[in-house]
Amino acid sequence: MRLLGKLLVILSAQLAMTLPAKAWNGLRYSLDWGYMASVYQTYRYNYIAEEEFRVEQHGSSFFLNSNGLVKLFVGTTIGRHAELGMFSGYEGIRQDRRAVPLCLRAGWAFRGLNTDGPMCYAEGGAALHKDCATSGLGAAGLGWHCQLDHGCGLDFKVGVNVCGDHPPIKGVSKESLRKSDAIYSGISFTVGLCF
Amino acid sequence: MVKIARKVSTILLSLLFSCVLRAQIILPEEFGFRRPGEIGTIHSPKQFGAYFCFPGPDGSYDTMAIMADMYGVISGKHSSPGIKFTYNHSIVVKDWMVNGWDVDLYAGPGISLGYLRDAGRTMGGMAGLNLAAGIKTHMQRNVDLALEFTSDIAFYISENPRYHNLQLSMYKLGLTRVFYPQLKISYRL
Repeated sequence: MRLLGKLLVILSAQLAMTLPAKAWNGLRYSLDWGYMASVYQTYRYNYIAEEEFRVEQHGSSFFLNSNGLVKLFVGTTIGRHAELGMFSGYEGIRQDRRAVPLCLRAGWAFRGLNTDGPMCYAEGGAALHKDCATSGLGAAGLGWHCQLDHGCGLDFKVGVNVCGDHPPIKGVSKESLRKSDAIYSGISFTVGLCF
Repeated sequence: MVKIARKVSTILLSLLFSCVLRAQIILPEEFGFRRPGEIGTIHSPKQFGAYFCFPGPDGSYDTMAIMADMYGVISGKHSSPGIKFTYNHSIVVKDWMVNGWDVDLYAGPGISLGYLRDAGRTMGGMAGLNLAAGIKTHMQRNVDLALEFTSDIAFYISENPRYHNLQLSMYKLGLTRVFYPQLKISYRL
C-alpha cells in the first residue's frame, strides 16, 4: 500500500512536469455527496478457532447494503476538458464498515468543463480504516455536468466503486486472526457542487 | 404497533403535503392562493427531502417541505428514517450582488410536524415551531442554491418502552442540530 501511494505521487508529479504551464487553468474544487449501494463482496478469512484448529474461508456473494458518502475534491483544470486532483471524505462501504478515502481523481468533460454535457471520471487511491490496515479503493463512472453560472456547476454521477477491507471477524481475537481480506463492490449515485 | 404508527403517520403527512400543494396549485389566485415559484431538494446530514416555494407579493416567500429525518440512519444505528413536514414563511432581510451573483439573506418562522426519533428515544410524534435562516444565490440557469440553518422548537411525544406509557418532552434534536448545514437546490418555474 505504501508502494502504491508512492507510485501515485510519482505519477502525478511526472504528469505535472510534462504539461506546459499554460495548460493549468486554475483551481477547481467540489463537494460531492450521495448514495452507494454495496452489492457484491469477495472474502478470504484465515484464523485459529477456539478449538485450536485453523479455519480457512473464501468465497463471494451478492447482497444489498445502503451507504452514504461525502467527498471534498481539490484539483486543477487542464485545458478545456480535463481535471485532475485529490479528494478525501467519508464513506460507508458495508454495514458497520466505513472508510476515509484519500484518492486521485481524473475527469474528462466531453463538451468542456464550463458547458453542459456528459463527463466521465476515474478515481484511485487508499482507504483509511479506523480498526485495520489501509486498503485500496477505486471508482469509475459517467455523469452529466450542468453549468449553473460562471464558476459554479452541478455534477450528477453514476459509478462503480470497489473498496478493499480487512474486517474483524466476530468471535475471533486479533491474535488468532491470520488473514482477513475482503473486496466490496457497489454502485454509487452522487451529486456534486463544483466551483 | 410502532410499524403501524409509522405507516399511518407517513401516509397522513404525505397526504397533508399533497393537499396543501394541490390547494395552492389548483385554486385560483383570486382566493389568495399562489403558484409555486420554485421546486427543489434539500440535502443535509440531518434530513433529505423536497420542497416547493411560493413567492409572496412583498418579496417574501412560503416554503413547504417534506423530508426524511436521518437521525441514527447515517451512523448506521437505525435502518429507517423518520418523516417530517414543515411550512415556513421567509422574509428577505437583505439582498446584494456578489461577483455578479444575486444573493439574498433570508429568515423566517414556520411550523413543523413529524414522526421521527429524538435523542435516546423511540419513534414518536413531533409538533412545534420551525425557524429557518440562510443565504440564497440566484443563478442564471433558473437554478437557486441556498445554504440554510434550521431549528425546531417543538414538543415530542413517544412511548416509554419500559413502562409502556406516553412521554411528553421537548424535541431535543431540534435545538442540538441547529448548526448542521442544509443545502437547497431548486429550479425556478
